[in-house]
Amino acid sequence: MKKLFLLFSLVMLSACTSSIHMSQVAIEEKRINEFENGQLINIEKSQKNILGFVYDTNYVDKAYESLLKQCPQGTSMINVEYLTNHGFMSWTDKIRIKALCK
Amino acid sequence: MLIKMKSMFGLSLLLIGGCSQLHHVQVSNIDQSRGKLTPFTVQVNELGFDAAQTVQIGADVAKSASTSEDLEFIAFILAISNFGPKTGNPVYNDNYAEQILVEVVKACPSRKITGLTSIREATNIGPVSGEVVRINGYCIN
Amino acid sequence: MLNKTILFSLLALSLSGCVGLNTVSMTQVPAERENKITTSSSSWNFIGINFSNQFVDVAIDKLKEQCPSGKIEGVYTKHQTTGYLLVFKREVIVSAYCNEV
Repeated sequence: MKKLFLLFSLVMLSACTSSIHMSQVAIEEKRINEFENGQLINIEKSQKNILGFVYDTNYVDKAYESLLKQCPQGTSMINVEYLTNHGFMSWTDKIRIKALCK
Repeated sequence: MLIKMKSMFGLSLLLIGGCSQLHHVQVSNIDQSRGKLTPFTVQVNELGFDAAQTVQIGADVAKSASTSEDLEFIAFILAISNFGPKTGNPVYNDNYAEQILVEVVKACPSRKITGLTSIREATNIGPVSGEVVRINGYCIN
Repeated sequence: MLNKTILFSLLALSLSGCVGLNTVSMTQVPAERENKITTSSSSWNFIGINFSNQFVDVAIDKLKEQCPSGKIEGVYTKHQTTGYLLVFKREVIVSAYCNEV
């Protein structure tokens, strides 16, 4: 029974954890009044990393390109979040961008 | 004697941890030319928990050698199951800062915002912590 | 003699702090860069025990005071920690340009 409890606890505790490294909010002050007309977009790009063996950070560039494509007139407000989802001997790095297009 | 020392070490670790940690700070432009500024703060937080560290402390203070060995093994399993870079303690919900943008907009009804400072910080009590994303800013009146 | 040497070495070691950069960030740099303003704020702690991150807000208040009616642009922020053996200094150094509109 004790061992079963221990095993259950272990499974529960090893459920994938995460870590948000940074979350930054920036605004374009001149266009602040256009908030209500804007369109909120969500972009998420990720990269699987096994024991640190990755050789580029192109997923970040892809997120940025996607932002430029979706907001051709620019953004009036933007939130960039960089986080990691932990896993067994590996992890996934993620970039999340939320933006209000002009 | 050794176990007592380990207990003391574990306890001191808990006490040492009871503090604020600053991980990241970014200050942006502040426009004081368009009117009086009213400060606002938007904060989201989530419980952070380092399971591997907790079990390791358990292993250090365990009375019997076999229990200590078992706990050390569990700590190792937990550590390799949650591999990867960490800022503060790991959390079990990666969406806790999802609403931050909307909250910032809500915090300033005039919707004229300046001087946003983005802060990633934590308050630790041993292996448990409050992982915080805080945005300070000013509404232009 | 040996004791004195060890003591002196320890003293020298504790006084010469090793600095580590935590984060650095900057905003758009303006064309007008005549009026540069700088400020910093720090917080000391013993073996990493801190109870507040209030020193960040102090730096921002000090920055605002230097440009009471203008626009603070091109904000360059450094967050660093200097270690002196068991004592640590957390510091935020901010420099920017104050442009009157």
